[in-house]
Amino acid sequence: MNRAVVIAVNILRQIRNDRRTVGMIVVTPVLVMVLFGYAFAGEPHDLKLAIANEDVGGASFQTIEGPVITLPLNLGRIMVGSIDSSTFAMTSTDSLESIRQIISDGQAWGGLYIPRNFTQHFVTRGFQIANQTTVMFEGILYHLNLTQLRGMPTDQAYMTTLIDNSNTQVGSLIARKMQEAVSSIIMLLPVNLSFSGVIHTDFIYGSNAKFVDFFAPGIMSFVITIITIMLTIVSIVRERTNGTMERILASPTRPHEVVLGYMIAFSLISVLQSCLLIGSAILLFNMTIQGNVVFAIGFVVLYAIGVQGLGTLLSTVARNEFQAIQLVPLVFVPFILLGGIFWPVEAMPTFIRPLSAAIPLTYAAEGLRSIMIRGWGPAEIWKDLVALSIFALVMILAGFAVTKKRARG
Amino acid sequence: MPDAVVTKKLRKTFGKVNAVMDLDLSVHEGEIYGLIGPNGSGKTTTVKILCGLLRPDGGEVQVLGNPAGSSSVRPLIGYMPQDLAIYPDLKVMQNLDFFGRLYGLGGEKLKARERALLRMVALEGREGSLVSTLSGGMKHRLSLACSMIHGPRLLFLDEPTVGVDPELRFSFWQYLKKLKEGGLTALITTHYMDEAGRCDRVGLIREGRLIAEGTPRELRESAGCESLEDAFLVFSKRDMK
Repeated sequence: MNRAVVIAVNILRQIRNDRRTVGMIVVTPVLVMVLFGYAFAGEPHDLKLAIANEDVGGASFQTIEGPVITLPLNLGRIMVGSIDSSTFAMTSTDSLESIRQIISDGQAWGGLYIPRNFTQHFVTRGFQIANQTTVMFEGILYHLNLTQLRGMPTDQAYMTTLIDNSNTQVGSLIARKMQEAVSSIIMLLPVNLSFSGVIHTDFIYGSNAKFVDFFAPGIMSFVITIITIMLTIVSIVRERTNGTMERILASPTRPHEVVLGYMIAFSLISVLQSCLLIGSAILLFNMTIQGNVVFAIGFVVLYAIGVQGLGTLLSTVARNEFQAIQLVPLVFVPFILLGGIFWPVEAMPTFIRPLSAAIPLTYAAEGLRSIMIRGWGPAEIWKDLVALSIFALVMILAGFAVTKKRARG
Repeated sequence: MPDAVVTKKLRKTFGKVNAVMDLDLSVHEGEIYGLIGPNGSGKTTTVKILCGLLRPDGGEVQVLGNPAGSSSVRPLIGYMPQDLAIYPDLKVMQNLDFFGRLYGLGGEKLKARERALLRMVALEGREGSLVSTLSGGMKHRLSLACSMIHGPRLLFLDEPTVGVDPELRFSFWQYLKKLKEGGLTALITTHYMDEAGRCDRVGLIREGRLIAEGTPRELRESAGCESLEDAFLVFSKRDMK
């Protein structure tokens, strides 16, 4: 028993004398808990929703008593007012086509179109289904002219919701929130209408998307991150500890050639990994890929180049392979929690989103999702391309700098 | 005889530690020069500066007539670091191939060079062996071969015999002598005093400074001692005074 205590004390002493390990022991759990708590704290909010409410309001009916009565309703306005404003950031537009365009361009996750005569047609339809014969208006009971009521049009008794389902969680949330809002106008009518009887749903992207379709691009990006960073750090640290890096740098090889060599090797590895990931997702989970697979792989390679540069930078912190492995959670935790892999960035509190925007994985996962589910090309994901290009460039330059410094201590 | 290595007032500090202090060194072409001193005396730092791996804080360094680390010097020098500095997950030939290609070798020229070196370090027949499966002595010989793959004019060997058994140390010095006969200049660092006796000239280094220099015989005579080890202690005491 005494010897066990001696061994335990010896281990603790070693850890205490290694500041990086102490830091890791203290920082990792706090970091995980804080980020996990915030990243998974709630439902998405501030989701962009484009609304075109053309409803003029009012529902007029001919009565047997003589006068035409006009019910002072505007169901379109009630519907819009019932949409959960904490979940959506709503913007107004003027037509169904413009909503379609906004979503196609990735400017909004969803949209709602309410036609010009929605209130009239919706109430008419409700009265028709319920065989409504009377209506109370300004305290007087009127009888409806049923012959005329049955002949009234109801083609605009439906709203249309458009959804970008490339993120299946966001897509189902929009559908659910629309259903909740619709219930506020259905309860105004004397009949029970199903949700689908009031609102038509149309998917702009990912009409048949499954959760795996949303999940796979994120996981692909994440696997590339972890494998590339781990291999880079371990390879460089090993080159340093076994002396081969010194031998290389004493030769005519220049520091930028070392960095480029690493870049080429890990780019090739990332191509192989991308093919394996995409292949297994298609074969095992029947994943559908709308976009160009070669472009998707090229996009992953661009990301891998940046990640490899990050690994080169991190390798300067580690003195040995043990410390190198300890660095992995520092990247792993924020990337996996803030990179929008499991849950959309919109689900994170506003104050934590800049952190998410600072993580390259966010752009890799989002860009890859757009290629694979939305079928987008370079023109549509230019922002992600620019972000990852800047990341790769900065990391390559930083890699040059640290390797040069190492070459000429 | 022209000097392959010349340093004047060479200085290098790490924080508050003076690793090398006003070091004046001259290694003649065609000789084996031993830089001898205890651990932490500045031998490795000096070699790294000469190989262009560390930037000196002061003084002058000329290697084969050019500034250390310059692009014209790098192809002409070979470096065997303290660690074996070979890839355990590569095969013997793959290691030689890699380091040869870093120096722009290829084709038949590289193959011929590899064959000659494998013969010299007695690793013929082990070309296809993974380095991790080799014995310590074999790894050591491969490391030396990797330093020689491009046929350097000047070879820096940083403590090449640390942890090496006497038999291998003996054969290592045999190789080195053979290389010297081929016209190679070598600067070798060691803290084994018996090895200093095998060098043409020896520089005794202590706390980053050269405290004595000469042939082993000159140093022994100057100190009035039988062995170089005793001579080193005499020079150290003189230096402390």
